[in-house]
Amino acid sequence: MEQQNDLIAALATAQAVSAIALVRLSGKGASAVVEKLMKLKSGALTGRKRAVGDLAGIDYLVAISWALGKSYTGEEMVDLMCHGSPGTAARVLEVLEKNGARLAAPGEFTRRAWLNGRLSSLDVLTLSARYSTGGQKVKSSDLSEELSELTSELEGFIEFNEDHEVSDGSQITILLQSMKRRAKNLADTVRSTEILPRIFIMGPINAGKSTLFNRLNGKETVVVSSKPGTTRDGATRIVPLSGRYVEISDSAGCGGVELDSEAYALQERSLKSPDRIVWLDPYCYPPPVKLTENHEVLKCCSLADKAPAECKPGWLPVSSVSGLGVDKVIDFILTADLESPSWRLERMTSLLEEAISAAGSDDIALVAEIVSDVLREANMPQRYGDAVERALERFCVGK
Amino acid sequence: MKNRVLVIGGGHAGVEAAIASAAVGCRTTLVTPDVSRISLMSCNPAIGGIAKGTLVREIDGLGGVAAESADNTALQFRMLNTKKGPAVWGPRVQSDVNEYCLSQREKLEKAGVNIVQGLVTKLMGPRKRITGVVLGNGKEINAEAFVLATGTFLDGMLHRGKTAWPGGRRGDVSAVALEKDIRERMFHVKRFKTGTSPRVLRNSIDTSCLQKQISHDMQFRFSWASRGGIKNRETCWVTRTTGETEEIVKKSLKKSALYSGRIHSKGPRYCPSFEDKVTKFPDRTGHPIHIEPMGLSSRVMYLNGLSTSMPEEIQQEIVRSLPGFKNAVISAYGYTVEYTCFETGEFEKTLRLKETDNLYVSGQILGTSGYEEAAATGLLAGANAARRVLGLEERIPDRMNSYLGVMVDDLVTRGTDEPYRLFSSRSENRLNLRQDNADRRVFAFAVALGTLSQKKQTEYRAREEKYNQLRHELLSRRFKGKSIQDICKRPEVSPVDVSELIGYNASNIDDRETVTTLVLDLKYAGYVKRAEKRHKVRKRYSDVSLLHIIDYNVVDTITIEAREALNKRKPETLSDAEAIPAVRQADLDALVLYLMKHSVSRET
Ligand SMILES: Cc1cc2nc3c(=O)[nH]c(=O)nc-3n(C[C@H](O)[C@H](O)[C@H](O)COP(=O)(O)OP(=O)(O)OC[C@H]3O[C@@H](n4cnc5c(N)ncnc54)[C@H](O)[C@@H]3O)c2cc1C
Repeated sequence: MEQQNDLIAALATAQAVSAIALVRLSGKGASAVVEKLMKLKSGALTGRKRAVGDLAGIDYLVAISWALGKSYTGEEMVDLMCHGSPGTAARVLEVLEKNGARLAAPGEFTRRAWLNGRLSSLDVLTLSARYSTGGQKVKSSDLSEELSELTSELEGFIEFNEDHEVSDGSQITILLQSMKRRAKNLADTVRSTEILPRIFIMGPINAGKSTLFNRLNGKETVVVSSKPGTTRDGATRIVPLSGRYVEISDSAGCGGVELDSEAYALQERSLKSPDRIVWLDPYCYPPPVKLTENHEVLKCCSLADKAPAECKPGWLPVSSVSGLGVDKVIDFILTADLESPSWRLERMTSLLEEAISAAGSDDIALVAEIVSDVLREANMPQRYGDAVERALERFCVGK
Repeated sequence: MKNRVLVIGGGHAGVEAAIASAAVGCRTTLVTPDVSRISLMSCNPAIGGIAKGTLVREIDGLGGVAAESADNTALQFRMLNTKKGPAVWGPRVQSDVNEYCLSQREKLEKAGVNIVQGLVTKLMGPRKRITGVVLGNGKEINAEAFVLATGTFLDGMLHRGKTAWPGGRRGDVSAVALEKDIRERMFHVKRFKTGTSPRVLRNSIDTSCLQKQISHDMQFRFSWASRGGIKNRETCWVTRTTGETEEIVKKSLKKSALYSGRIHSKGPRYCPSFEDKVTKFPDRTGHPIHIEPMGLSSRVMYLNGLSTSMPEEIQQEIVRSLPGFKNAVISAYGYTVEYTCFETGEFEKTLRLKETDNLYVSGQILGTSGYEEAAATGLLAGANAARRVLGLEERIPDRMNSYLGVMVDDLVTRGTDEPYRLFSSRSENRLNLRQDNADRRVFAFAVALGTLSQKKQTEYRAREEKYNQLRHELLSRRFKGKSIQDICKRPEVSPVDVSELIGYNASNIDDRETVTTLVLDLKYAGYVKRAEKRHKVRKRYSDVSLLHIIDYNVVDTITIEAREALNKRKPETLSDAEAIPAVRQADLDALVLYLMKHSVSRET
């Protein structure tokens, strides 16, 4: 992986004609490079400063520098606002590159912000959920900061009973209530914008995959045919399910009796470990081991209304026509990522509710226990590192 | 008869160590300079407090004696934190200091411990295997295992103002020769400090303007062996510092032994001197000062909250600025003691020094502070020393089941750079580590350790049976359509209500306590289960070795600060890394990712 803290640059605004384009430069030496190119005194762009002037004869622009630790990335950082004509930004980037900067990889700014503790893991995920639909950014780290403050407040309250006169039970309740309100609002916005991990509907040819896909999708978007192999290239849709958004891929038939091996191989290559698989097979042949080893697979005995064969134990009878078992499939899909920001925020909301009731009965030790649970939800635990990595992939260059 | 275990130092740790060793089955000798000062409370005349009181009850469950002595010599009882949830209730008694010493000495004699008066000046034999000790008078005593419990005495230096003089505490000599021997044996040691408050003559205080404090109206005793609740035998008072008090301290700060740069060792952040309080919170006044008698009808009162090492004349001024203290006469001035203790990493969780076969450490010299902490570690060290002599497996308490476990684990794996005292928040299983269920939590360990007498085991089993019967009855019934779990979760439900539900007549403290424990166990069951599950996950982290990472600069996804810290500390496992403050959540995430990628590439 690239050396952290080296100088990276990218266009942070959309690649289109606009009034202003923003080029972001972050890393060691950012200020010095721009100072040199704009012929400024050394230090003119150190800390939170602003400078207007010509940059290397390319454009007359505004440069804003950020202090170490205060910028988006937490590093030394300069934002250059140049004219939005196509080409200007490209030339600015070019000259920055000549002066030691490297073009940033997708999500690299955000990654640095995360590594430098400027954004929490949950922030990255909420940002990514937001970003996928182009919405404004939601910040939950304010909440988690407040939560950690509350935690130390509670601990002080518990341990130093004589000396600690800062808070009493009623203040704690008020604090908790305000946090609950905000967690709930955040949950509501995030839920409507985030996209859960992908769901792949797979199974042998003509097992009813497209019918299920359409049923979930609510529209006849995929050509349904009984002629084997109709859905050769598969289809991917973002589908609203119970107020959440899920990315579902219908896939070409594979395995079983007839195998469209080429399409299957294609599909298999695009699978990543958090993706879940709904495997359909009316004859209940076990799905490929490679899939079951690496993914959560829901085995469905499909076409249950026609029942061409007996449903084997461990298989869920499903009929997309009669609707049998579809609710269970939806559950499986929605719980694909219980660590997603919206699930987390929902859990935080109900935990805070629990804490409020404990505070009402003077059980501060219990409040503290619950608040640390809330904090744990807000601070992504280690094993969700890959969720963060996935989120980072979703960003484009410049974020 | 041949002596098998020798305990050095008759403080709170040493007494429990000797009694535990005898209970395990070894002929035990305790060497201490002055039998009349056995288990002397060097500082405030009180036992217990938040987490500490719970620890005292664990000691009782483990067969120790501090709880019984605390009950027998209590002057008044208060339950701290009653408004903060039963999990953090902190039982605390005022004690009669002299009665406490006597009671502890009696316990030693009853346990058959052989007491020798003397100051140990030297250990004999090689570092790896100590064979005996030499006393000040030249006499030698041999044994097969040893427990060091010398408190604040190792090269103890007392400070007040600009004066400093050697001493273990006021009125005691410093153990200079023994400290030198320990250093010469190349054990790693460090210097800590702690301070105490001035004592004032009772009849020189005008208590008419002070707030009175008497026992809480609540039936309580630390030990299951004690009959009936603690009675109020004495009154305490509370006064508050006035702005004047703080001013005196501020203008004299340079004269304090602590602030004149004379003392460099680390003191307890959480048991601060009055100088610390004024410096840290310069705008605060009205610090509470508790006035506690040193004994029943004692002439001397302890000023809890006013620990200081100012020169005598300033202490005089400070004390006289307190409301009610205009004519106060100080009978003993406050001072700070600086002493040697063992460096983290020197001892195992069994409390045996790593480099030795048979030398154990306990109490203040582990880097702890407090009578309760000392007593509990003493018990563990004494029992393990005896077990080792008898060829039995040494035992380690689990941090999920007891504060003793929390403390030992913290001291060994996290270390401490200031005197360590217990807090309830040091435990990740706080809702379970309550004072009411201490005996239930430690019973299995007590049996494994071999320190709990047959008689006490039988008594425990009778309580256990009662508990199980009640539990069974409650769980098998529904009350107005509700399960007992649902009822217990309701905040307003009290153990008394629950007893009434099934018509159980809890007539004495013991039975009431059993019901209380049952109700709280049911109430917190879900949380406790979760805490235990999390602990298991964390334990898996301790299986993830980091030793193959030679230089953390290769892990370029983590912050430079974290890389530096990791390179310096070289944690053995992921959970050790987690304990390093500079390593933040995001760093750990990144480290896990790195490890995942790394292990994949190694496999393929
Ligand atoms: C000035 C002062 C201030 C304190 N302030 C606080 C406080 O603010 N908060 C708090 O929690 N605790 C405080 N304490 C600490 C508390 O007293 C100790 O934590 C507790 O007593 C430790 O118990 P221990 O058994 O380890 O050692 P101690 O109680 O110190 O007992 C040590 C025993 O070992 C004996 N001994 C020492 N050397 C030898 C030797 N060479 N040979 C034979 N016997 C020896 C001594 O005579 C003594 O009997 C303070 C102590 C002092 C002295």
